[in-house]
Amino acid sequence: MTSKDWTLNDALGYLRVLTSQIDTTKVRSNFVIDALHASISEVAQFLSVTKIFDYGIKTTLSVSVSGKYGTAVLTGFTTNPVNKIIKIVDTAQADGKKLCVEVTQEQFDNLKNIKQETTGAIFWARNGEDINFYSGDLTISASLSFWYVGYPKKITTTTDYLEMKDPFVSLVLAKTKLKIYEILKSQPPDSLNVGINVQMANLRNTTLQENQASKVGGK
Amino acid sequence: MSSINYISKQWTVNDALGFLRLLVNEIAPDKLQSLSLIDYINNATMEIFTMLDPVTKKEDYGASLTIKDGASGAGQVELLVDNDSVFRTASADISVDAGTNKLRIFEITSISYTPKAALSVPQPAIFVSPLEFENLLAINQKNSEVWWYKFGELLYFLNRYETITLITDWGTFKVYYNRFPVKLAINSADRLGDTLDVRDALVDLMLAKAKMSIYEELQMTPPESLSQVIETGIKSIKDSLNVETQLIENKAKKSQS
Repeated sequence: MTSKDWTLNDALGYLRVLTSQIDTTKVRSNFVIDALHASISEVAQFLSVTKIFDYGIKTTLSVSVSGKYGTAVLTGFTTNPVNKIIKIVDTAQADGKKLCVEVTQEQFDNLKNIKQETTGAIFWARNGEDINFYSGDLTISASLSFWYVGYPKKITTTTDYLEMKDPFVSLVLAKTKLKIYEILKSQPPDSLNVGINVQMANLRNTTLQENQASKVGGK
Repeated sequence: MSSINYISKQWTVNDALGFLRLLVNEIAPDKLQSLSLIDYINNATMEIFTMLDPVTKKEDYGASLTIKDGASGAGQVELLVDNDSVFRTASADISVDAGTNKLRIFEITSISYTPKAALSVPQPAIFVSPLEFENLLAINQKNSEVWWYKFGELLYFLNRYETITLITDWGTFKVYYNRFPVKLAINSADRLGDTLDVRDALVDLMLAKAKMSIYEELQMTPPESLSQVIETGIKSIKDSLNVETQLIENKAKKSQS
């Protein structure tokens, strides 16, 4: 998900006004880009279950298969690092067997002992950057459909758009301003902190309501 | 001369800029050229947008788009049916329409589906989670229903409408959504005539928030009265949100009893 209207250049231009008011000599562009990315990541953490799907990515997951077991590593997903896995699908299987089943590592370790329940399904468990697969009687494909929610990508090209939905860019910019004040050991205006707190409280409330509604069956 | 009409009926970009210029001229005339006044207007508009209750959002920013095979022009998006043996699944990229206009979708409120068959009437498409969608795929049962979910900027559809046997049998989807306000620009004189993308009743609050940003930027202490205007404005939005939430909860309780 990228902003429709705010490029990195727009954001840097906006923040440059502030830095020129404080101290132009001490604020490097790289620092502002880092602060901006940190702010985007912070705000993304507070998005609702449905809004976080804006960062949804569908791609292919390569699996190293050995008999009934398989392993995949997520370290290769560097552009859009994996935050939350939504589903893993083995399209080569027959209907009803395509969706791989998520289990805990403890359940995973017990799978080979409960043969009846592992028939006709592929199981997976995630441990950090590693995913382990186990299949009772199916052959795991080496290439699976992988659906995940990514962390916001760090934008460094000035013409690229920020990785944040536009209505939340204002909050991102305010948080970045605060970081600039901090690094310069300068006192931020009270209204900046107040504004951030109001927007964060509003975001938290909306997120709570939306998460609640999605549990009930809405969007 | 206004070039684009957004929500406000009275306030143009030029009016709002003029209002803010008066303040800057008064408190820091030498900074007038260095401040990005339009960005303060845009940010304040977005902040207010995120606070609005669902009904106001829908009244002011409600929009729709059509997804179909052979989409063309503004407000239409191409439907891509999966070319497999059953033609039951399809997707659509809703980042941009067929007229290459950016689609500023904040949240989808509902989707209706009109089958291609003669005399067909729109029916609601059912929202599901990505996992539920996958499970539905495994159930090979015709029941005249259509399901959808959104992932990234793609919409995914599963169609079990009884008469679907070919790719060309797919009909039309109408996606109702709340857009977010457009970022106003002053890159040409013509754009100064654009109206603001916020309802007139909230322009006062928006301008107060923009003024607050100016004080912040200049590291000057704002007058107490400005903070009060903002607090009162936000409180009034929150109050209406609480009333709205209460109404929805009461309605839900009534339907359960």
